[in-house]
This record gives sequence, structure tokens and C-alpha cells, in this order.
Amino acid sequence: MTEFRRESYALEALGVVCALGGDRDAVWRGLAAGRDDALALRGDLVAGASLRFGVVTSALPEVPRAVARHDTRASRLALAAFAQIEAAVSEAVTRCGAARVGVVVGTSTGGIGETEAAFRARGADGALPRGRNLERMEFGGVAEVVAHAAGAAGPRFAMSTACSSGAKALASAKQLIAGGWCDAVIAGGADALCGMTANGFRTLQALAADRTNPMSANRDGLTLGEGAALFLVTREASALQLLGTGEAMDAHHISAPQPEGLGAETAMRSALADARLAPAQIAYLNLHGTGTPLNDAMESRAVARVFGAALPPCSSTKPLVGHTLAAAGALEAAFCWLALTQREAGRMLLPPHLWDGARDPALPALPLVARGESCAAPRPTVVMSTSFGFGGSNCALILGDAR
Amino acid sequence: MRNVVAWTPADGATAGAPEVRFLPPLVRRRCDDLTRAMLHVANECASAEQLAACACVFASRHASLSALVELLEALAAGRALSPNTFSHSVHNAPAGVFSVWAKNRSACSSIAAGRESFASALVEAFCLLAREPERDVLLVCGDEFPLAPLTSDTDALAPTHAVALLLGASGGGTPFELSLEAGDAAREPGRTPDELAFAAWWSTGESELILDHSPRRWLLRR
Repeated sequence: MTEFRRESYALEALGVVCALGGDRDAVWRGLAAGRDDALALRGDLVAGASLRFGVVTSALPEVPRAVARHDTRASRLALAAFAQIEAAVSEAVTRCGAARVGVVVGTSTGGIGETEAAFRARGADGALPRGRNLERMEFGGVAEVVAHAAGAAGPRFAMSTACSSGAKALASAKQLIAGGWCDAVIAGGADALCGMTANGFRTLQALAADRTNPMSANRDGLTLGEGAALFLVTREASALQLLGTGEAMDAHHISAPQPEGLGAETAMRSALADARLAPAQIAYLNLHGTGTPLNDAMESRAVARVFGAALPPCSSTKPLVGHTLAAAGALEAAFCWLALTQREAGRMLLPPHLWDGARDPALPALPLVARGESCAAPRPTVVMSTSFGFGGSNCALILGDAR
Repeated sequence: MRNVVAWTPADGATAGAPEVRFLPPLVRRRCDDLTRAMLHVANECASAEQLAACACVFASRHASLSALVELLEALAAGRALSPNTFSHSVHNAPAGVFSVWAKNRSACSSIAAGRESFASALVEAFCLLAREPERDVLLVCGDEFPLAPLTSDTDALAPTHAVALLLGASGGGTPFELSLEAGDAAREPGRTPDELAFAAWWSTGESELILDHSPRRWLLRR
């Protein structure tokens, strides 16, 4: 058996697309400014309701003909992120060999949106309008498209654990390298807005009437978004590192989180143990912070228990870009990566937590980041991002300077 | 390898599900065929103690097609979605139901990779074994027979099925060798899903199994 190497791995390159923009610079500018105008009103996604969504408006690449059977918006979002790391990936493929480069992409919608359109366009005989609908709907299609674009020939798969998918894809990438299967992995998440998730969260009464308002006493649900973030994870010593990952299941309920956040707590503690770090060493925490009553209650309790008196500045970036579901874990790791990369003179500008400022007296108070707030960030600085999903799936990531 | 269990419908039927009488009635009523088949093979594969302690990898090419088709029909007709069906339509719903039932709080993945879903789940399982050799890994892989109108155009109309493997590394070494090679298919790719081909191979005692997915293939050797 291959020996498992307990190391950290380089997050060598990043591609990102979300409602804030179609590249790293635009996304960082939006994060740094705390742009509150990126969520758009859409009346076409939920029947009878005009709600805010984090819609990607930048141009998306076309899906190559050879993998046209997986031509979906999720694939195009992933390709938009991939285009930004193409040079680094190409170099890695040359350096490591195609067979040693893997792909793990978190997705929860695959080609559902395209299948919705096919169902609406059915003929009188009930048949769908064009062939291969089942293949186009596949969850694994996005990873296949990315592998094709990269010329990667190692293991490639979709991680689909709902809202923790993007974070778990990065954890799997680390394992693929540690377990000897790959020397480089393209990993992250991609999800597109579609009627299924919009109406599904609506029927669970989980959608906010206006912009999501995480941790507020007035929070009334989440705002959905779409996007993609892909990292090139390698063994290289340079750059920022994925220092630790932690995972746990709630074993509580199919859609509701464990009320005390026990699974979330275990995931955060496991990530700290994996990175051999103490809670007080975390300089910033990117919350899951969906803005639903249940998530924020359990999450704030879990965070308070893990960090105790050493609570770091925290923010949920979902009011800026929406909840991008399976992309969220990777996208929020991307926001952490951007903040770390943009440090100046030992200070790190933090992504702000946009809300109405009405603290919920029932929840432990977290130090939520205000617009323009920064923290001391001498090297080495490390930060954490958490993601919790349907099915009780919890994942925490720690990234930062090599230590 | 501790155990391998496969389930397919009796008498060559394409759809159906095992009874899963071990599940509480309320949970059982809410489960679709895929979740039932997956929990059935998991329950047959290992003891309650093992199922509570193992790391888990679930895999499915298409997830719960019955739940997805119900939701797609409702969306097309402008009807409200069922909250229960939506909750059970996510790819990791069987993994979620399993963890609640088995009281398992370990890491649990839910993987899809087209025709290579089973092989990809094996890779993930082998990584978990390498990371934590003292903890067994439960791998459950399955799919549902597609409902109309999705039946018309698929290239792989396999019956509803599920396969569970309990993998252990104690004593050193993985239960078999697994490698990925470049290579065109030696024959037409079969319509039997890899996980069912694997279960058949494991029971025969043959030394080698090739899972052809031109232009590459997975080689299993014991």
C-alpha cells in the first residue's frame, strides 16, 4: 500500500467566477469594496416570486465539441474558472505527466437546468426534444469537461455532497496526492442556478424575501447564487497551502442540521488537528452563514465552542454572491486565497459581512467583519472556511502560508 | 476485503427495491428505490458496530432518478415541489439517510463519474484506507432504472441495483491492486455497470478484472 503522506499542498493557481465578476481581479475588487449590488432580481426562477440571486453575467466559454454531451451552464462556469489556471495546469501536465493529473469538481446540479428546459419542450408524444438528456444531466459531466480541457488523464470525478461539495472536493484532491494517485489535481466546485434548486429551497421555506441576512435576529433564509472556483493543487512548496481538512457527518436529519452544531464542531476540530494548529492561530473564519434560522444558530454555537475566547474575525460572504451550493466551499476558499494573496504591509483586508446589524440575542456573538476592516497578517497567517450541507455533511478547510 | 454484497431485482425485472424492514417505517416510506437498494446492501454487508464506525464512500452515476423525474415533472407543470422529494433528490441523500440510520459520524463522500463512478469510488476508498488504515471503509455504489421520459435516449439501461463493499487494510495492504491505464477497449464496453461486474468477479475468484472505458481502463488484480 502507498504510504499516506501527511503534508500540506500548494494551492498553486486559482480561477474564479461568481456574481462579483469573471476573474480574480474583479472578484477581489468586489469583495474588498463589499459590493452590495451584485445580487439581481429574477422573476423567472421561482413561480410567482421575484427574488434576489447571485447571477453570473460575465461571458462564459463554449464547451468543446468532443465533450458536447456535457454542454451545461455548470460546465461553462467551470471552464470560465479553468481558463484562468490553464497555463499553470498545462505546465503541471508537462511536469507530472497527464496520467498523474486528476480532477475533482463539486457539483450538486450537474445538467439539471438543461433537463428542465427539455421537459418544458416536450412534444405531444411526451418525448424529450433531443437525445442524450440523461447523459447531459449527469453530475460527473463537469469533471469530464474540465479533464478534457486540461488534457488530464488521472482519476476524475464529481463530489456531490450538496453544499459541502466544493470543500470536500479540495479534501479529496489532497487525499489523491497524499494517497499516491496524483501529483496535481484540479479541484473546486461549479453550480448553476436552476429551477430545481430555486423552487426546492422555496418549498423548504428556506429562501430569503430579500438579500440574505446571516446571523441577524431578522434572518429569514438564504439567497441562491451560481459560480465556480477551481484550484490547481500540487506538491510544489511555493504559494499558499491547503494546510488542513476536516470532515464529519451529523447523523441527525436528511435536511436539517444538528441543532448544537456537533458535526460542524467535529469538522472544524479535525481540520485544526490535521493542520496541527490551535484555534487561536486562525486569523479569519469564512462562515458557511447561509442566513437560514437553523444553520446560523447551530454554526454560531459550534464556532463559539471551538474558538472560545480566541474568536477570529468572521464573515459570511453569501450576502455578496449568494449561496452557490456545491461551488460555495471552493468559492469561499477562493475568497480566503484572494485575501491572503492581497496582503500589504502585514495587514489583510477581510471580506465584509453584510447584514442589518441586528444581533440575535439567542446566539453567541461572533466578531463579524465590517466593510474596510483588516487584521494583522504577518507570515505565516492561516485562515479557515467552513461548509455544511444537506444530509448532515460538514467540511472545514484551513489554508494559509506554508509553515 | 471483508465482504461484498450485491442486489438486483428478482426475475430479471428492471425496477423495484428491497423491503428494508430494518428501517423505521417513517424513514422507509420516504426512501426511494435507490436509497432502499443502497441501505439494503450496506445492512447485509456489515454489522451495526461496523456500520457505525466505518468511513463511507457512496457513488452513483445518476443519483435518484425517480426523485429527479418527479421534481422535473412538477417544474414543467408549474406545480409546487414536494419538500420531502427535494430533500431526497440530492446526490448524497442515500449517504445522509445511511448516516442517520447507522449513527455514523465519520467522513462520507458521494461521488459521480459517469461510467467510471464505481472505479472513482474505489480510488476514494483506497485513499481513505491509506489515510486511516485502522478504520474500515464502506463503499456503496448503485443506480436506478431510468423512468420515462429519460429512458428513450440513454446508452446504459441497467436495472436498479446496488453493491456494497466493506474494505479493510488491517494486516497491511489493500484487498486488491487497482490501477488506471491508457488503452482502447479490447471489446465493446459492456452494458453491465462496473459495480455489478466487480461483484460477479469477486465471487468467481478470477485473478484479474478489466473495466474498459476507452481510451483508458481500470485494472483490478488480486
